[in-house]
Amino acid sequence: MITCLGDALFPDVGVATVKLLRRLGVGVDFPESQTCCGQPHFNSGFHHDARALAKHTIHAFAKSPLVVTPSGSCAAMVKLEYPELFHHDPVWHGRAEDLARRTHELSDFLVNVLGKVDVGARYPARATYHMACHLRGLGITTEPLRLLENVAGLELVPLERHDECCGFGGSFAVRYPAISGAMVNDKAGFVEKTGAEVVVATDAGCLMNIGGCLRRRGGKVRIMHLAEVLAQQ
Amino acid sequence: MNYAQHEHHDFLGASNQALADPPLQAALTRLTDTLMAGNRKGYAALADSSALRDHAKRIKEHTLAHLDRYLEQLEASVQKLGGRVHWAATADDARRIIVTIAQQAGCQNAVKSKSMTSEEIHLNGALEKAGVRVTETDFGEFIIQLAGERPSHLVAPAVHHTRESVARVLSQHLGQPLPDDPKSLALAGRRVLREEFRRADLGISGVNFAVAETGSIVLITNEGNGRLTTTCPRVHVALMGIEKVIPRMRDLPVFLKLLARGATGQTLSVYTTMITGPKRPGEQDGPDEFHLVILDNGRSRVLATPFRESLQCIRCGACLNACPVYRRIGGHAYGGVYSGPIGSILTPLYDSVTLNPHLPHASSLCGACQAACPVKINIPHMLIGLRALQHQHGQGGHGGRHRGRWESWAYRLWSVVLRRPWLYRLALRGARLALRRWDQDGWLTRLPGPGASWTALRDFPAPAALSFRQRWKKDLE
Amino acid sequence: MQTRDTILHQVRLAVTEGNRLQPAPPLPERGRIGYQGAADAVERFCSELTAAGGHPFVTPDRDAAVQRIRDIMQRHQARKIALGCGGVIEDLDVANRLRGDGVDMTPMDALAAPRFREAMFAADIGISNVAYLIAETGSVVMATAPNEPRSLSLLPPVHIALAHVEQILPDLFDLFDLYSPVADLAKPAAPPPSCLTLITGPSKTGDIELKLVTGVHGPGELHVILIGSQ
Ligand code: SF4
Repeated sequence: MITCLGDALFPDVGVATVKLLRRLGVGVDFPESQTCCGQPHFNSGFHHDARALAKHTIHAFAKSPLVVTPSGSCAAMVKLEYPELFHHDPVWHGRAEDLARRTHELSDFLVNVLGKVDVGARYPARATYHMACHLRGLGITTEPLRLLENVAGLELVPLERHDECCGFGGSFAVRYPAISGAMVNDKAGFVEKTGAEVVVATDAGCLMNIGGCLRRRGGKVRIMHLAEVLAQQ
Repeated sequence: MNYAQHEHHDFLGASNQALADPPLQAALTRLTDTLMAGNRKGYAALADSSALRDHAKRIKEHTLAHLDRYLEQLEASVQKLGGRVHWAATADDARRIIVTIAQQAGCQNAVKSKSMTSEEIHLNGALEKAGVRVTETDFGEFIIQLAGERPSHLVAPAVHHTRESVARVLSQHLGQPLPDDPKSLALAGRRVLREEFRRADLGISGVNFAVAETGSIVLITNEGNGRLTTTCPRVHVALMGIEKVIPRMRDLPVFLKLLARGATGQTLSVYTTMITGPKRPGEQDGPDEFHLVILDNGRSRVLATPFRESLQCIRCGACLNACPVYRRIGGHAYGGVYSGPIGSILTPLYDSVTLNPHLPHASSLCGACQAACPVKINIPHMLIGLRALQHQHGQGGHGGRHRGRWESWAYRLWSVVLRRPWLYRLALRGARLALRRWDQDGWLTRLPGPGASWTALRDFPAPAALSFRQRWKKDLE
Repeated sequence: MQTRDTILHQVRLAVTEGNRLQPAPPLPERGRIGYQGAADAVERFCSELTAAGGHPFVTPDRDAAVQRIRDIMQRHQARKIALGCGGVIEDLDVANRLRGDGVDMTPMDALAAPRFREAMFAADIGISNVAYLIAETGSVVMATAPNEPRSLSLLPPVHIALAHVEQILPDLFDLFDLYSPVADLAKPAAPPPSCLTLITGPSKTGDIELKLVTGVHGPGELHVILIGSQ
């Protein structure tokens, strides 16, 4: 599942995910009718629209035995919110639960389904890791770090307040630019303090926010999605 | 005066002001390394804290699902021991009841231990008007009272103050200059407040928990002012919201084990006091009269809705400390009696959804609050629920009705596009073309429309030349 | 009465309505979740109390216990002592053994109401028995009763609590089970005292810049002297 932000803004992440999975012997397909999981609508309180998009997505993946997405926020939407959304609809509730069971965030899939912490990646760089908020909801607190620790040549430096929100929050960033800006500026400051060349995260939202802020501050730190690091050899 | 609200103020203005206030920012940053770090340490030190938190939540769920029964049981238990029970449907009722108790017992000097519920009903003003002097005795609350402010945090009401400002406020009250080290300030506070306790004839407290089985009310403090308030004066009035009841004594330690760990990281707060009725025959101290005031004030209305979960809150303040937004803008910016994530739910629910348009939106939904909450209240979900409620009132986040309608059409249109992949592809291409003129090696430094508030502070990634689905078709399929 | 009935009626309606939205779970039983009872209760008690800023002292020797009290009195140059009655205080014969020390000793059973209050506000040190101690949290448990007033552990700036190690309960749950036993144990519940207080360390405030300061309202020093067998 490569949803809207990843599709339009970070296609490299999707490409890296496909390559990585294929390298690990996983057959990958991309059902082209997928678009967006509906999280923006859900979070803004437009449950009706979110339900329509959820149905669309459930449909798109009806035939996929396992769904892997390089996005904690899409995974959280599908796994945690879809069943909730169809609370009073027994038919769709069942379908939503079924998709929720089949869906995995990338690092969760690699570590807990494939049982791999060493995916054979090699990437010589000094990197630090920002934990995306949606991983908290999914209970994925150590998986990305364990994967990064096993990347050959990668020097992982700890990030102060690594699990504090970067201030993205979808419409929040646009509605409250001052608050969101203070949050992301703190985050960028902590990143710069580590002296890392690369900051790694697992969600397009964090990457565009932190990356956009780092660039505006004129720093040299690059942003990379976990999948892009793991795809390197 | 309205329930949870002090004023319908300008959230944007107040939060911008807070962001530009360096001493406040320093004070709020301190929360991260003290209380927030304590929360994590506290849970980590308790082997199965997560299971215990689930257990605590189930007790609350059960109690709320049978609240009528437990309230009646509580009333009977209190009366059996010679306590008096008063029921208040509104803040106004509660104020009147407490003023009447004071007048009938001829009380003139009241001491109060910290109670957010009494803030909620704006009790102090009513008592003062009836000629009863009121002194807040929690050190932080006392500072706030002297400064003529209101609390900015559930458990650390004066967290927005610095040692210098505390010294200024206290020196002025005492008419003598005090040094600004915390120790001498606290001891000066002790001296002043000791005299108030000696003189007081009325003690007013909140209630952290009320045990239906035994009629005990539980007060938790670190300073000991809760104990003094319920020991020295001859009349004790305890004020509780209907949601504070728990079924049995043996359910209490479940919460005790979590409350302090969640709030500060302490194993237990310094003083946990269970009061069961007034002083008994032969005892040398304690109040002759014990009154329990049970307040509804909108709670039963919320009990009937999907927002019932908010009534599980034990007011520990952990969600405030965990919240990256609270730690940037502080408690006063929220405008309500209750601030932070839980305040963003309570203020709209009890005051007005339409008059508090910002609160449900001023959150990135990062979930740090729920992760810190001892009863795992799903605060992000309720914020989203309130956003949905706003749409039902035909209102968007801010900018009133007009913007609300515009926004809901935009989301509707967006969802229509997203359900038609060909339209989606077309829209994507359109956006890429439209934005191309601002593209600087992969980043946009300016965006039109609402995007401008993004690019005011940071760049935005430009849509890629080829979307993922195009590259899938080209190279990967 | 009328308001009462209106409120309860409204709550009943709200309960029914809300229960339709989410099913009502039964009142859960705890089992062993969260039980912290450790092997060495005395050690756990002492380390927790120390962490909370209190001062534990364990001794099998009664003379050492009395000497400890004397040391604390001297360090504070205490003149006025408020003294509890019965229990360990009587066992140790504290009243008589400290009488020669030139302090003004006020035993609780000797005072009528007005003088009691003044003596309490004036005391430099309060010496009390305790009902129980909790190893998990390092707390002492005070149960109010005639001659066990609330003020004794509250008004004087220094509190000395005397206890036997046998009074230690491993876990908070053990304390509250006394007042609310699990049904199948068929033990009768003890009625709670008018005031039951758990004290965990000296009085603290963090209200000024979140810096901990002790002794703001309650005692700024808490000593627990445990008479043990070891
Ligand atoms: S919502 Fe939870 S964390 Fe926040 S104050 Fe209430 S109980 Fe504490």
